Amino acid sequence: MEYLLNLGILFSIYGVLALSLNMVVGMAGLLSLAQAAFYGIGAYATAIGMTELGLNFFVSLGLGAVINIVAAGIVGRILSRWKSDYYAVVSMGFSIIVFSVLLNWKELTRGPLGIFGIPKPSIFGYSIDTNLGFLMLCLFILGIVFGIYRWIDRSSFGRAAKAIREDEQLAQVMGYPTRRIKSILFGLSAVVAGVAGGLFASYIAFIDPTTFQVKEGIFLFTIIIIGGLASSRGAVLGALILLSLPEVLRFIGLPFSIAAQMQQIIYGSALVLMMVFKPKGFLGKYRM
Amino acid sequence: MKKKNKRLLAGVIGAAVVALVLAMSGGREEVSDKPVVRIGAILPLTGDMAHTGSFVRKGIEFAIDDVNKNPHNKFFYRAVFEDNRQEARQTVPLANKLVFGDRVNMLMTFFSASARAAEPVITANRIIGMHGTPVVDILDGVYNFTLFYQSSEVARGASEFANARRSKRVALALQQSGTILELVGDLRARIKGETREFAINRGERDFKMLVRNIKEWNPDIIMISAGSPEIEIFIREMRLQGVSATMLGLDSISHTGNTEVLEGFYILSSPFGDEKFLARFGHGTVMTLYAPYFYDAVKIFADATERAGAASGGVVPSGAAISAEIHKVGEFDGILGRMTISPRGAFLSKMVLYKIENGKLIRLKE
Repeated sequence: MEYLLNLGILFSIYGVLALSLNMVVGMAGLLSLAQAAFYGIGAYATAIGMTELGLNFFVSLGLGAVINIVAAGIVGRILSRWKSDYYAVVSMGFSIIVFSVLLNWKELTRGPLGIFGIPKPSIFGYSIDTNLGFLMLCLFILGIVFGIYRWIDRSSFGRAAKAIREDEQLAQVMGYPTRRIKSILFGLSAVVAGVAGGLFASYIAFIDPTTFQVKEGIFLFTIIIIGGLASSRGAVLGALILLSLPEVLRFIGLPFSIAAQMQQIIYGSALVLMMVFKPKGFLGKYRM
Repeated sequence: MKKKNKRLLAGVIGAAVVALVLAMSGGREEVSDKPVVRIGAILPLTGDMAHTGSFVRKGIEFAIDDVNKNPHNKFFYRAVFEDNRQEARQTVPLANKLVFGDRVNMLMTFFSASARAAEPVITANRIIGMHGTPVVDILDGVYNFTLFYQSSEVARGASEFANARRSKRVALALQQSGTILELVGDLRARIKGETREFAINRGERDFKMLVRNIKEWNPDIIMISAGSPEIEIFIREMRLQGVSATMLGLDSISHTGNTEVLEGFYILSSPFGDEKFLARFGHGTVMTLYAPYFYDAVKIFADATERAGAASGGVVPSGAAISAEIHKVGEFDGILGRMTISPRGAFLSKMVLYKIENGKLIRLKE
């Protein structure tokens, strides 16, 4: 049961992350690889806020949100000039910079030593220190983010974002402030990714820079592609599939000597098959 | 893609996976009438650190084989391995799976990040935790133990090496990791000559610029800590560029079997395992130091469990009872020679200075 609760927590955190990425990739068609960076900034802000500054979990989350807004404001402004592959390369560069800062700013982040002893959240004096309590908190936040995503998706702002995805030039001609829309979406997705980072830091109780590398951004990309681009339910489903599949494979009774390698092969094969038979992902609304 | 091609591709992948599973699924779990004591291990069995993780797994398997051969034992020991690909994200759910699903009595982890992620689960559930890391601040004197020499011992040995040679400039070519960061401050404080750090990045393959920078600084000693294959490529580049400084490896050799490249190299390390133990690996004379540490740890755990079990009437004893028995050990003769278990729970070996001459490890001094 505890194991399932832990998987549930991870699923919720990655669901939030996938939704945040789908805001830029799915809605506006922007190939962002910066999500791991915002995830890391949120995690570190929460960890430092709680362990060094003695802040409450939710205040630390707010601190992470502020830092992410500033960072996304700067980076988003630069990125808003581009789309597609240029966007991917520049956003990946940002991820690499953030990783290097987390690794080398040892006075603040403790570098490769990481930060440990990150406490669990507390609300009105009640500490959420059980896995069930933490899962409830994560699901609650996932629900809120899911709602925000749906609300944006159906709003005029969301329709403008989709117009950018389909044809940015045409959207500009129609009078949409495309650069501003892209920057707002980028900032919003950074804040949401930061919240996921804060949850992750408090859940694991230990973070180091290796969790927030570019490959994490690629993993998130895989989640939304498998689940389905531009779909809120698809993002959550993708997180569920990609996190639960390796866990299911742990129980199929492979011999210990080759189990880990076989799990990887089966996992990879499953991804190939999913893409062959569901090129738009399971609930995707468009194909890149 | 056409429907026919899709079916074909799916068929080929499916058949390949099934064939691989069938071909490799030869092993069966041993069964026993004795109560079972389970040992969980979270290791990097795939990914960048898989080679080290697989050595550790073998060390654990060897120990369990040896322990189960003893007919006088009251318990039967079984290992459950899980692969975390060296990711903290994987470690916490896996620790919970092993503790609550597999009901392990001991949980072993590898590297600082995994140890730190698993430690709260171990402590909360009062089982034994053995961690392949020198990070001592996870030690609680009860449930958590560390399996590696301490950074302060490396710093002491390495600074003695440099100071005895009246070194004026020591280059520290180090791969960034928590372990190394623990070491660097201490090392710089102890070395009398000037020191400068040069970072070896994991995954880096071209060390031309790095070696050129080191050469320009002209150190008389270069201390190196890096994993394989970075270390071989780095040292080969130093040979190519004609760097003549004395080279001292700080545990680096533990990751490589390529002694030819390392000719003339000094190594400061725990003693390497005895020949009989090394031969079981089938990888020549060099393998990761972690394997003997884990081997010894499993044997010490099993001995402690048997002793605690004698008092508990054949029921698998509690983590606290096993821990008390482990702490009573104090010193023992392990694969790496004389070992000490500190009151806080660190398994410590002596540091030995080796040199590679004619492709062989020559033990110089303790």
